[in-house]
Amino acid sequence: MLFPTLEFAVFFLLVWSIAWKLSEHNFQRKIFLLIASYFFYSTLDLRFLPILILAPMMNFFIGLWIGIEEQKKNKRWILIFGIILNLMVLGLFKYYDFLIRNILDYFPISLISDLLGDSPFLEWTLPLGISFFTFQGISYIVDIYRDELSYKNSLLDVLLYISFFPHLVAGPIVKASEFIPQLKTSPESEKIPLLYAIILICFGLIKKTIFANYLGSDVVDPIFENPEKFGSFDVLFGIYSYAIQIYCDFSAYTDMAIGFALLLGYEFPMNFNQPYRSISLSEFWRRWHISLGRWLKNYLYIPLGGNQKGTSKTYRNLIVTMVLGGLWHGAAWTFIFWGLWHGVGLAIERRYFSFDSESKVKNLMRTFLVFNFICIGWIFFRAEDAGKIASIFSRLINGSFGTVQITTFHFLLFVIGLSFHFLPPIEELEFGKRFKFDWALYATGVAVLLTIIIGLMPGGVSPFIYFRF
Amino acid sequence: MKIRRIYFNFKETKYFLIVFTLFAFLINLTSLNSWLENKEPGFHRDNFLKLTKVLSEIGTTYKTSFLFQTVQQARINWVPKNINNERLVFGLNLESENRRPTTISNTFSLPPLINSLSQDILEPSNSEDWNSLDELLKSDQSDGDGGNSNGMGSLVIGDSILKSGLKEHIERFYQKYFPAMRVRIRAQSGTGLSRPDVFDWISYIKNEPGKFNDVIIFLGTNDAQNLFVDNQVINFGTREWNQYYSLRVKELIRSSCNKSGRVVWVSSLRMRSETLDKKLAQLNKVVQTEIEANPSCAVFVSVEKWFTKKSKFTENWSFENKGVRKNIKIRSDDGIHLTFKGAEIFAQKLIEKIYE
Repeated sequence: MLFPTLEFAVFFLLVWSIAWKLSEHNFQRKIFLLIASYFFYSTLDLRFLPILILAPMMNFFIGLWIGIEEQKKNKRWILIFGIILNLMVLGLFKYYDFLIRNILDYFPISLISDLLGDSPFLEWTLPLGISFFTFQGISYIVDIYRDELSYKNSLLDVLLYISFFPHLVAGPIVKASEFIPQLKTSPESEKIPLLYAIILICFGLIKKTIFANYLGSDVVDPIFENPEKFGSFDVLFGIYSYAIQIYCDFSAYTDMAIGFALLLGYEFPMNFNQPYRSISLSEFWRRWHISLGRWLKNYLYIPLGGNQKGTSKTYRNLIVTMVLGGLWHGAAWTFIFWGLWHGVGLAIERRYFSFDSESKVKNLMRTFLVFNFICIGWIFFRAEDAGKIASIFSRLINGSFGTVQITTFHFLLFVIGLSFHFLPPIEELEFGKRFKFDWALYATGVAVLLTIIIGLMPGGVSPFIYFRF
Repeated sequence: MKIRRIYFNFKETKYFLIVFTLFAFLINLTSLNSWLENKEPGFHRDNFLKLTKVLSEIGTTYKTSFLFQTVQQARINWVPKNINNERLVFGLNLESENRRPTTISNTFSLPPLINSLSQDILEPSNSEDWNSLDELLKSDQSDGDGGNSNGMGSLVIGDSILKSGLKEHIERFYQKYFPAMRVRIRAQSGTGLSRPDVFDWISYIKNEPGKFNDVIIFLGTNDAQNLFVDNQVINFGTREWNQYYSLRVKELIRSSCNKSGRVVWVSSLRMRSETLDKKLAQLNKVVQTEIEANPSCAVFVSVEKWFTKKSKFTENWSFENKGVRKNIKIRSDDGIHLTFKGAEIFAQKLIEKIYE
């Protein structure tokens, strides 16, 4: 069941009621939440529930082993072993067929074909959320190795940390050292940030069901499917619309995930912070998919040496980190190019640009340039293959104007979607302080708002984009 | 920056959620029924459907669903379909002589959907050809069985399977192998015969000007769903569903045969999802039975065994190209559509099959 559906609403209300009833019995509460999380996952795909149970168990035992081992050198080897195991699971499902396809294409040696046989591909369906829970598993064992987290955790805590349903299938990627300590004690039933959570959920619903859905199906999909049928303005608008669509889609999910977690008493880190207002690419990566950026920095960029091993190695580390970050999104050359685009961009920016405080006009220009740089990257991310990428660039550059087909409605959606980056963040609105109403009035208002959202929704809800990672 | 939050206690939160749930339920009584009608048939769903139907009638009678219905109606009236077949806000024809913007004054009346599907015409290389194409379309008024060796080439209609990749390759192969033959392709995502309220292919064919040698149909993938006939739900997989769907197939074939000498109905592909795959196998059988049982100009081309491995769905395909073995991904990640490369191979094989 997807978040913005009636089934999930019923499911969540039940889970919420029972979870808080058990607030004085933390152990039972956690077991209940774990079962609820497994139920949630099995409604999406029951076949892969065993992986969701076994992978965290594996990480629990590896974490225990690291903790018990006294020699630092041996701890390191156990950690490497654990990371390889995690990546093997991810690799088999996600990258094996891609790797084999490319080996067979670029190294058409008969020996390789003979070895692999007639059916060299696994063609395994990708388990939902595997990229996310694999990264969380790695986060767990690395945090133990770095002594940022005690290894003395219960199996229940580890299972719940990785399988907790609000962030299970599309993040945010919560650090083990951030979330597991929250599980040690029962959340306080007197301190539920209700309004903030409800606002996050409603805002997420609006972004997903209206902005992402309409811009995606009405503008982005037709233009990316057949760019040659559209003029340059439309193709450009399609690219900009995709930037808004992916932002609204992904931030909607994580806003709602954060809201649902808050209602259950747990705190997730913010995952998006108005990324398109960034004046530099490095700032963009501190505002976009913050939890992934943080994971890549802590568990990949810094272990590679970060910026401590000299200039050329810094650039290398940036590029490698971003390429692997691109590959994480999907087993395709387009994602690798997207990562490379950002990696090279970050390296060039580090080498040639400084971002001391400048005038508002200069910052605005920088914001515009950075936004366009990011949008070019989105072309690689969204297009199906190199042919489509070439087609889109060709339509952009060859200057064929023809008839512009932008509609007022879609243009407005784009403008409003973009404006989310320039309004004050939700947490600064202090909603409850400005509007001091009775909770019953708030409840009625939210019900009315929800009804309006449902009425405005196009027929059916498309899955969240990041579900496929 | 410190985040300020207003905290409620458990009791207040509980009452908030109760009031919210009750009020939301009250003002969404009709939408509950619509939601349930679109679900898979089953014991629980069928029993709850009776309840939600009653609730829906209460909602309509006492106008509790007024807000939802008003907003929904506003969406249907005011929200455009998509960037392709929508009214223009402003039409800039910069290639015309006077280069002045053409404003559509009445921006809120949608042109008839059939007339607005103009973007998929295979554009001639120059404007003279365009004029003569239009002239030819208008002048061909012959009646009869539609079979005409001087017909307009091929008309290809379909859903998103046709739209995503297949269309371009079919155009290319026609240009390559039948340069004298024109091809007109109409693809509309998310359509089929189950939901004429979304898009009515039968009316479309009837109103399509001109005659063709062939009409090639790629429909069915979106049709594994319940039918709505006279406000009644006809569940997929039932005998009643088969009868109604067969009637629609028959009508579409009849209209197509009036326009052409031959109708080629291409079956749905195999799907990764076993549930969808089984449903489409049933649907393909209904279509095939209808075509074979009733003589007409239609033929059924089954592609269910194409690009399968051990009779099952596969997303990878290997083939030889100039003595080199190549492996490509022919199906996209959704397990439904073809990739661009997959569409190329499929289109080539299909053209060869149709014109063997």
